[in-house]
Amino acid sequence: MPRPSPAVLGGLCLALCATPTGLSNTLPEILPVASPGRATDLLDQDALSARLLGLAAGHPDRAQTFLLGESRGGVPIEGVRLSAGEDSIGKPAILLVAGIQAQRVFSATMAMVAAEEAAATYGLTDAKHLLDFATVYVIPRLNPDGAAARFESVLMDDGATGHNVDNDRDGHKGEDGPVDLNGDGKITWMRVADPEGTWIEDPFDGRAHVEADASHGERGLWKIVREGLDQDGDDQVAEDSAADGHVSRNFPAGFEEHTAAAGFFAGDEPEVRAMMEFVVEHPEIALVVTFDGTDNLKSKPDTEEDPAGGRGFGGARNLPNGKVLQSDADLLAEFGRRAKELRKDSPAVDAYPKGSFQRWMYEARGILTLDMAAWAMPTEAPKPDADAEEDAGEEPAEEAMEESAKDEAPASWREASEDVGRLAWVDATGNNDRFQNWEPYNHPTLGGVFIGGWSPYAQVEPPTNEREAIATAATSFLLSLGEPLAQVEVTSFTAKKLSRSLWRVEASVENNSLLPLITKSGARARTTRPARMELALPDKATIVAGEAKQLIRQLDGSGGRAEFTWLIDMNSPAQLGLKVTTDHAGSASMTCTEEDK
Amino acid sequence: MAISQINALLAATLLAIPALAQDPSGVTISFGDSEGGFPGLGAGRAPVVEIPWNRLVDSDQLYRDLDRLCAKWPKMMSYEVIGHSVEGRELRVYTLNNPDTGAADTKPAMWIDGNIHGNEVQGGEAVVYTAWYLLENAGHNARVDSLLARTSFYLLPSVNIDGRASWFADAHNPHSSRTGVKPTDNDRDGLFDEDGPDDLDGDGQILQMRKYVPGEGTHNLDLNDPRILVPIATNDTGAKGDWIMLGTEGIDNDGDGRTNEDGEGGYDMNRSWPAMWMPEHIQRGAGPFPLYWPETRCIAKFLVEHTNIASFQSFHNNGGMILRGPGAESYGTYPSADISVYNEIGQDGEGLLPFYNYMIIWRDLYSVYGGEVNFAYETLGIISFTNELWTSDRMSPDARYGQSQKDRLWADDHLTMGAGFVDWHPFEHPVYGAIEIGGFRKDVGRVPPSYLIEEMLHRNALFCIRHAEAMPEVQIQSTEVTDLPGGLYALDVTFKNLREIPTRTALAAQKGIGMPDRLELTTERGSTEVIAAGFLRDKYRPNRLDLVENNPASIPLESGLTSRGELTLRWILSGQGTVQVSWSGEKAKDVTQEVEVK
Repeated sequence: MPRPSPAVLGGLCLALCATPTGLSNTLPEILPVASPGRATDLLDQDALSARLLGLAAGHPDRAQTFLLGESRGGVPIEGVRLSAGEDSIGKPAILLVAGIQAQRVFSATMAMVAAEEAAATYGLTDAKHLLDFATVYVIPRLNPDGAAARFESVLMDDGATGHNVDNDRDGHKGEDGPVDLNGDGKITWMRVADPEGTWIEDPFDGRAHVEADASHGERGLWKIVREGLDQDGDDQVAEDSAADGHVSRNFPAGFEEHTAAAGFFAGDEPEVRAMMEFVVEHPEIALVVTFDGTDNLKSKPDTEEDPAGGRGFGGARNLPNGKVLQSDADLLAEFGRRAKELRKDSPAVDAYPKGSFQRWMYEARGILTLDMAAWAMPTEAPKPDADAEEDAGEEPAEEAMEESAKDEAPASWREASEDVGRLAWVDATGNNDRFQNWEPYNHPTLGGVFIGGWSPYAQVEPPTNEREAIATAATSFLLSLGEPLAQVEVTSFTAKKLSRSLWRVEASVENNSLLPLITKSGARARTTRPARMELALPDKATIVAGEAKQLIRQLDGSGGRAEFTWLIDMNSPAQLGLKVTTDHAGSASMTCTEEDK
Repeated sequence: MAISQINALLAATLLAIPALAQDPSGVTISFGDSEGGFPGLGAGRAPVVEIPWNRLVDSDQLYRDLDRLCAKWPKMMSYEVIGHSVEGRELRVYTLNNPDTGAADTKPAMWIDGNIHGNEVQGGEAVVYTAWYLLENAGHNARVDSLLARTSFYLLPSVNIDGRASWFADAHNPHSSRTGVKPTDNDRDGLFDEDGPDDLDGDGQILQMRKYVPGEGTHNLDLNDPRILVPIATNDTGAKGDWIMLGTEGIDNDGDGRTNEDGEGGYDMNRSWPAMWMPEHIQRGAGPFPLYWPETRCIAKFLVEHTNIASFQSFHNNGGMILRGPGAESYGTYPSADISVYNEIGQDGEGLLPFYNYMIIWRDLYSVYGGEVNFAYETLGIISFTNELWTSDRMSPDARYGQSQKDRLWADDHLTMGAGFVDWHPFEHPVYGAIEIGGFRKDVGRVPPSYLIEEMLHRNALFCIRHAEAMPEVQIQSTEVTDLPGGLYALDVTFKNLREIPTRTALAAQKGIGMPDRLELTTERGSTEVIAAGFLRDKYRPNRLDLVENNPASIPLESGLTSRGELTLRWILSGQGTVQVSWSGEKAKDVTQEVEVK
């Protein structure tokens, strides 16, 4: 593998940590580890298990824990099943998965808060509750090995847990990983003066770095590498971490073969295999919610036209490409609109990244995933709130500041990098521990270097003072998702006498929820089962026309309808029944009535 | 170990092995001539283990035959259970190796499997035959001994061992039981495997159904042979036939208006490998995710863990093909150096296997996503072939003989006395009323008749052996010490791969699959020290040295030794003494040699 460039490292760490920066020696306020009693603390694995057990103990009738599988490191992956009342036929389920991307440690807390609230609020009002609509499977942390890094004495957020790659191909795996040289408890970055360096300081803020642009006469000055040593004596620094594959990139949808971060082969990571097996074993799953980094409630996905109907769907030979079919994208947009009302805005990222759980669910299983990312560091300083803005009128002072910034800009073709914006946010909010200023360090093989840059988790972990609101928004969103689930209803079932014992029987079946019985992707993938309609005939009845059993292959959302007609020879319709069952959209039945004459 | 020592060991082995041809009772088997063995010459010879090669046998018998080989040659062959099928049958990998020349995993190995499609049964026999042929001739044939001295074989006769068992035990046709037997809801009605074909007449075969509908049909009976239905040509005259075809023998078991739409299983284990795996709507039969079924999963684990596998063969039926990837056009092409190797072996295969064509899966057959041989090459970097065993072209080598139904019936009438065709006979069908059931039996069409089975097995086994002989073999060609200025020495060592298959396929080198080869120098005695090293690109201009950047005593070689390729490494040394130079790698036996530096 070629020596990783800082850009590649940025990609490895989630495409979110971008370029390096650093930390002070004190344990930063932004990264407190669980202190019992606070519902929105970060949860290490023991705390998470305790929280799950607590939930099950507190609501034994509604919450039962289950074991999904084991991580590569042998840690149990636990879940909790939330339900209320008797399981009715076809009762849909929502699958909530958090802690997929290793860095998203807080997402497990969000999932636990949402699960606890879902259990605790059941039965408090007369309004129909989430658990009346659906069973909820909550897997708060699919990737416990990844999250464990957050609770180590030295923090690093590479996010990898797979072990099948020998990055420097020297026959030893993981022998030259990063090292906390300056003893600040963080793996950050080293800035090394090097004639082959490609980075320069950002002219807008020298703490940030941008790649030199030779076409504008710039020459790179710095190499930026992970904080570490050359432990295996191959002249490369920190080039072979113990772990490589990312759970969040190992699913068989857009899997990037022969890419270390994607893992050895699709589905190779045990967490991924366990998750996929669970999904296949639970056809009642109608909708997936993730608290991850792929916020498709914010970002607008690339779309393509719905395929024409029929097997193969005309364009089905076009290989899956990460795009969302237009009708499904419209649904995502509607959920996005609903979610937006619940939370503060923050930057959006790639909706269905390659090898992600979300993409596999969509392309191979035909089920929508709604992903709500906890937080991403803003790329600008906070704006004064609305009231202050009104008081201040035109904000001349701010304009003047922008003007002066422009005056200082040394190259008019350049714009300030996103990191400059993030640093402005850091400065304005006093979150100084999220970035460590570049400090000189005497490296044993590289000589004089600077260590600094973004501290681990700095760009993905929400500030303490925002966590409550984030968890609340996530909870409200989850609680709102029962009502949109597809639900079959028999809206009429009548018979009209045509002759002495021959009846014309008509029925209509509807779905009045937002979600269709089957998404466009689900119809294309042929994974979600159609609804099954079946007549229960009275004794001695004979069907003269029509089929007793039929599949209902689609019911659109918001009023989708299927109609059926039979001619049946029978004495009376009073004993004629109709039953519609599904895996994931409930069931309905009705006894036939004689049509009003 | 020095080459001379290896040769000595080899010689010892050659002397030792003939003893294996002795019956445990102590009676020496008579081979009829001084050379012995059972190489494919018939006069006066008898194999040590008689296996009737004119039969196709069920899953249990397949293992029993292999177990007989293990019992007769316990040192050379044994098995391990690597997993279990859906129905709990053992998946056994038989390892064939001569331990006198090293453990199996120290040698390049060939993987051979068969029968991943349950109905494509003869692949199982082809695996057994390959093992049998090698064992029968070990100790009698220098090429076999040479092959077993430097390579090993991992043999899994029946991947879809449940499907095989079902094909033999239950009513089937030539095409059914391709799938494994995990219940699967093909018609998506919530019921599993509830409406498969039915053996309505109870004869153990799944045949065809036809119905007499005078003046309303799509077919007429052939005037010369009423067993044959002839379709009415579409024309403007409105002519109708007297017969209709009703498809495969069966009824509508689940009352949904369709017949035979949800039979046993309903998936394809050769579409479930994680190489360009695609979901069901792109690749029918792929299942929900790669390696979903236990058979595929345990094989993948074995392949990943056995990095010494350098050749891969999978046996299917039918059509007479020697297939290589890519499985899909969108993959692009394989690296040209690897294609050359494929071509060499594949084209030899066309000579070994009359009526077989060497083909590219997507281009010459159809697109396959998630194929097993694609995983073997595209993910693991192993040269891999799929053979489609048997083609009915072989029924007669006479070009005047065709493949029409008439020709097939003629052959059945004259060469198997009509045993292969069940004549049409009446049956009262619950939906269609009076119908007729008839057609070819399950063991006609996709498998050869008994008298042609042995030839098919033999030729395919020898294709495998030809492929196995191409697995890399590394030799230290020469070592030469010369004086350099300043009292230093240059040690030039030439490493050569004697065989067609490179020690690292071009794909493996490109994608970083597996570990690079390694060239090493260690000091045995004396005060020799490695100062530098470089690859000598021009022996007449020794200053043209591609210097090695790090650790010149242990040099990774990502591109390996190419097909019959050699390279010369120059180590620059100080001090006199004895050093050991070596090549090591995943896909060939390691070689070392001592050199005096003085």
